[in-house]
Amino acid sequence: MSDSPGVIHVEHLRKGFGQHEVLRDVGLDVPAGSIFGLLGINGAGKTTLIRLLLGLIRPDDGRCLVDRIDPCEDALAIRRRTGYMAENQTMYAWMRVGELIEWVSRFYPDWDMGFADQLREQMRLDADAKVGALSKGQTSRLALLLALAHHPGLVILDDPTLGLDPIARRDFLRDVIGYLQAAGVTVFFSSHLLYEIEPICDRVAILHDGRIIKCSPVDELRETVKRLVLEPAEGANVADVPGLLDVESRNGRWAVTVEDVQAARESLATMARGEPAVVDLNLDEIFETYVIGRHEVDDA
Amino acid sequence: MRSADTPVTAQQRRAHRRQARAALLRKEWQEQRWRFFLGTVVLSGLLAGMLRAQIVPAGEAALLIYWPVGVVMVIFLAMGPVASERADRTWAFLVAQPVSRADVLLAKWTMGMLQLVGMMTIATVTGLLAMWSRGFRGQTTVLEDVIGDYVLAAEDVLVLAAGHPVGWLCMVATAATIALACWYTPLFLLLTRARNEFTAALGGILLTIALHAWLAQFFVTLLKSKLWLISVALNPLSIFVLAVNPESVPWVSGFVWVPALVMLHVLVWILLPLWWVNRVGRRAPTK
Amino acid sequence: MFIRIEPSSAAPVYRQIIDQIKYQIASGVLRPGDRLPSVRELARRLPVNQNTVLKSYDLLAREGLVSRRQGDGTFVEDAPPALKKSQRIKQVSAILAQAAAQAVHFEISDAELHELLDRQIKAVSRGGRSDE
Repeated sequence: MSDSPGVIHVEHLRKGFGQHEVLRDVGLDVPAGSIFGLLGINGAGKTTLIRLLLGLIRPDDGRCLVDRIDPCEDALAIRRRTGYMAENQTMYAWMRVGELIEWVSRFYPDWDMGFADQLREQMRLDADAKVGALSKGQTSRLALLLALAHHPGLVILDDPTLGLDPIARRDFLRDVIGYLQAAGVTVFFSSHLLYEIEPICDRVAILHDGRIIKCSPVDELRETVKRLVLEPAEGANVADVPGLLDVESRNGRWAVTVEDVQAARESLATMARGEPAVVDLNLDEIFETYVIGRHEVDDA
Repeated sequence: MRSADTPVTAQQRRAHRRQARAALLRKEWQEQRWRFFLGTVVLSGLLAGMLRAQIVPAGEAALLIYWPVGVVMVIFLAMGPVASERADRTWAFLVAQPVSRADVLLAKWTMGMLQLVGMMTIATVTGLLAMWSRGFRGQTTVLEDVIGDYVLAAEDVLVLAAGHPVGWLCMVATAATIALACWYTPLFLLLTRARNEFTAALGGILLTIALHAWLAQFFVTLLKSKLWLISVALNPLSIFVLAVNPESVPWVSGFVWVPALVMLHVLVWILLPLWWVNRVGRRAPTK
Repeated sequence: MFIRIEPSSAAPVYRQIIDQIKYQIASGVLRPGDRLPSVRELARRLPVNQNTVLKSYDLLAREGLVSRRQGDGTFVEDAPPALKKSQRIKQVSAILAQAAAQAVHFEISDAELHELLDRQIKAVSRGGRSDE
């Protein structure tokens, strides 16, 4: 972890609505130029965190900095230099595409209309079409256009592929790689479609129960979080395994998922009868063990 | 791309803000202009119709139109801007732009006010045309009867008006517009909480009934209690009542008091709420 | 050059890219001197993070299978692999060990397994892959 705070820096953020506490103690750093994935189940608080970053709501405690600006102090400055695509965004259906682009451009001093036109053509959006008549895929492309046309250094995407068909989804991710990563823009991407987000992201963070329970580069996650299938020796206690994420017992064999396969190797070797088999996990499975991992052996 | 370090001059900031506010106003006009056209047609049609048909004396016509229909127009204008956006779910898109809540609400308020004033002006002009088309001859005596009904003693303003129906109508129109504007502002702000237009309309109707209930005390406890009198003097509609019935509050009569009361109303019902919106709307809400 | 990423696979993305490029070189689909798509282009096409493509290309370069020329791009190399023979044997052994285990699990006989291996060797030298 570098010493300098990232483009997005969050520390000890807390936010509740009435009795319900959504974020308890959230901290993370997003390095500049990276694609950062925020993972979490529905209702975990991903959208709340994003709204806090943009100064759309105020936190109960803790603070965050976006591009070294505190949203509680100058939210508008953050929004001017950040591209934002909200979840399931509804834009003015009665406006035409060209009109909407023109209207939004008024709020951004750095708007590049030439670039917006170029994007519009590349995304095959007709300037005279009514926004309400666009398909879901076209709407999300338009929303992405609005987020990119003012050359932001940071783009925040809140579940941008929600409701898109697989082709539109791939096209969207291509646009993210092609337009954003190629230009060195930092991307903060929240999604619960893990298998999709994984090839795109440099780093991921898992938000669960109001906290960030894991934050690491994607490669590292895959290399260190592994499942080992073994036959437990007499008196083996699964609680002795360091970094235990999940344990499943079947037919007398254990499938033990650990956070750091190197650190757990020794204790697992002593615990097992014979050599444990190592199983690679994909991000879906890794996420599952973090979120609903069992820490006790229950005999099936 | 501009980083956090590049300074933006205050002048540039002001220019950006002006640009943003202009864009907001334009959108409000495009979205809500149907309300203006509909309201103008209804208000003008009714007023001109009544004044021309002379079914009732001109004074009553003016009262009948400016008051109930005017109040309905206020509800109509106040319920629209925010509630419809919330219902369409474009509200989230709007407030996510680099623009403060304050500017968003102020733009909507401004458009509503312009529409209200515009509506009343056009209606009054058509009313005057209607009166003129009938010739003003018969009006004066009619007005004198009306004045006789509604006023216990002739006041300076009304003595003037008796001989000048045009002036009288304009005065009533002005008073009505001020009164309606003073009700529009707080109503608009209160209705920003509504999730859809139906709730907003309902809320608007209930609040307006409450407003009238407050005012109705006025007639019941005419001179009974100084405190009640003072409180009712604050009711936005009291300006309008005073315009047609200054005798109802004898100590608030004459040229000196009326402008003072008008200024007080504008301060309390328009400037104060707007100042509050400006202050609160600069910070993010908690929800 | 056709590459396909299996999103929910347990194999890391960079490994999938490397394996597929290696296979194409081995089977002659990619010949020495062929230019691989640029990092940006391949990343956009799949779509995959640019750093992942970069990592794949770097690892391939380290093994001597491709060379990266500044400004020009990445090209398939004619040179023999950079790994020592013992290392190469070790890698292939590991793959064969997996195949053997799988065969035992699927109850495929030794003779059948040998036949499969022969067929695949022939197919690779022919420039394709036998899927029977």
